[in-house]
Amino acid sequence: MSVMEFLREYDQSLLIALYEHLRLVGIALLIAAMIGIPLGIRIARRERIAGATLFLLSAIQTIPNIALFGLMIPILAMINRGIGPFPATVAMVLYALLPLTRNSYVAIREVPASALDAARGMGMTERQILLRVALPLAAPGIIAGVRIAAGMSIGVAAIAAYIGAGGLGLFIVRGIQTTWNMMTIAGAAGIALLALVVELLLGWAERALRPRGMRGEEIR
Amino acid sequence: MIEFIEVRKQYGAAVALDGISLQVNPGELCVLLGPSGSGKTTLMRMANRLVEPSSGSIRLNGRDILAGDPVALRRGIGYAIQSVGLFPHRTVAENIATTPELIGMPRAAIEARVDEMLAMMQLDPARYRGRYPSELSGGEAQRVGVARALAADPPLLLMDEPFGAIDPINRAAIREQFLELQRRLRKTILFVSHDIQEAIQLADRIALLRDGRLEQFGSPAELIASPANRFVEQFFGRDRAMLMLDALTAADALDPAPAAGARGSVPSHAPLRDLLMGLLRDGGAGIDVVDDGARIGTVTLESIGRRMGSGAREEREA
Repeated sequence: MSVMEFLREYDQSLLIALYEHLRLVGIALLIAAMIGIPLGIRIARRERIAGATLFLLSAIQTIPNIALFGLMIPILAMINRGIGPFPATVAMVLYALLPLTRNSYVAIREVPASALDAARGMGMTERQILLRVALPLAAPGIIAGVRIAAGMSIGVAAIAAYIGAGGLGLFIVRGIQTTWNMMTIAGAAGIALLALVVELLLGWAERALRPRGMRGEEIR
Repeated sequence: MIEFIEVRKQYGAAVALDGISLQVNPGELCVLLGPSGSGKTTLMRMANRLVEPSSGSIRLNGRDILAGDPVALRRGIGYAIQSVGLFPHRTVAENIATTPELIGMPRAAIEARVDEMLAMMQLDPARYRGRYPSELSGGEAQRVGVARALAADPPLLLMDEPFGAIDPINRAAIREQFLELQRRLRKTILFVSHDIQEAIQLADRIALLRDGRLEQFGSPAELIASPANRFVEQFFGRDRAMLMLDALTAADALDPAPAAGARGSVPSHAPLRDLLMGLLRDGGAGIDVVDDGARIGTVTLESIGRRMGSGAREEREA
């Protein structure tokens, strides 16, 4: 079977797998961002809590994907959610938390202390300082965290096919099981392509969010 | 105007400020002078409650500032710091507009104000409005910092070594400009410095601090001529005669009688050092001192000598 024939034959299931993959990554990333970014901002001024939080998140990160899935099957089986997209999403959220939290933490800490002092001294409220000074200056760093988390999640989602979460990983799993290289490569290439596109898009967003006046070479 | 009453600040067991009482009058430029760790910055930061005193009270125009809302207080006080703290993501115009925006000034008034401030700082509004802080030299950034502090026209200004990051040559010039501005604006200013020369040049009165204590509070000439204790005396060191020439102005050494062959004229606030240099260089019999276009006297080598000789004695007796 040629590549063209394969694509014609499986175009529907490839598209569905791509959709599932994106949905898995998208939902996990959204949840992780909603937790990780505020968490990183909150701990930026609390040295000790920050240390403990980042240590815990790093520890989670060191657990291999497959092992984490394995761990979660018995735990989540207690609420009848041992396999499928649910445990996959939980695992991906856990993995994505570290880059999101750590990047937000670092980005906020790197906001010049003098700018914050001036903002406070001129009478901005804490909320205004965050929204008008800290966040705009930290935005590129925070988006860089989203980019790293997205790349990782796309990879983790591939393994999630093993616990029945669907996605492009399914092609790899099936290809390996049936020793059909074409199918394995279709899944792998799809994932690589997806990762590349997302990387490019978020890289562009990161540059677009870099405040004018801080773009180095673009300054007259 | 602003009054510190028995203000004390303690961090754990460490005493940062120990019972400071200080009253700065309206329109007065008070330099908080002292070595690093003397508590001068802490004292200044109490005036807008960036630091809260452990005990004591602070009054602004008779009102206890510790009773109200710190955010509202800060919006009514200009704030300029050594590291400038311009917002790097905002243009010069947006930076200067910060406090006017916070207090809800109308847009058109803000724009006019920004131009006025830039012009006052001798920065061409057309050229500088749209620039970002990264596109400014150190001196320009500090002038924008001062413009930003003045933008809402606050009666009280807090300045923490606002010209510290400028090279010595430009620093003298920017100080002179600032002094010129202050003669017009007559703001009440708390100005933190560790530079004796700067303090003498700028201050109406100097509050000299050491280890959280106020060692002496008075005019530059008073501190130099009649130091309250050995620390104050040693602080001004061996160059006291030279410093005195900086501290005194033409008005302090006037001879009302016109001197034959007097050359040139200076305003009454010109430092005596400049007049002495002028007399030595040009060899004239005297220099006329002019205020509001009218001659009020002449400074001669003799009148300077009289003032310098009697200065110390008079100050001690006073």
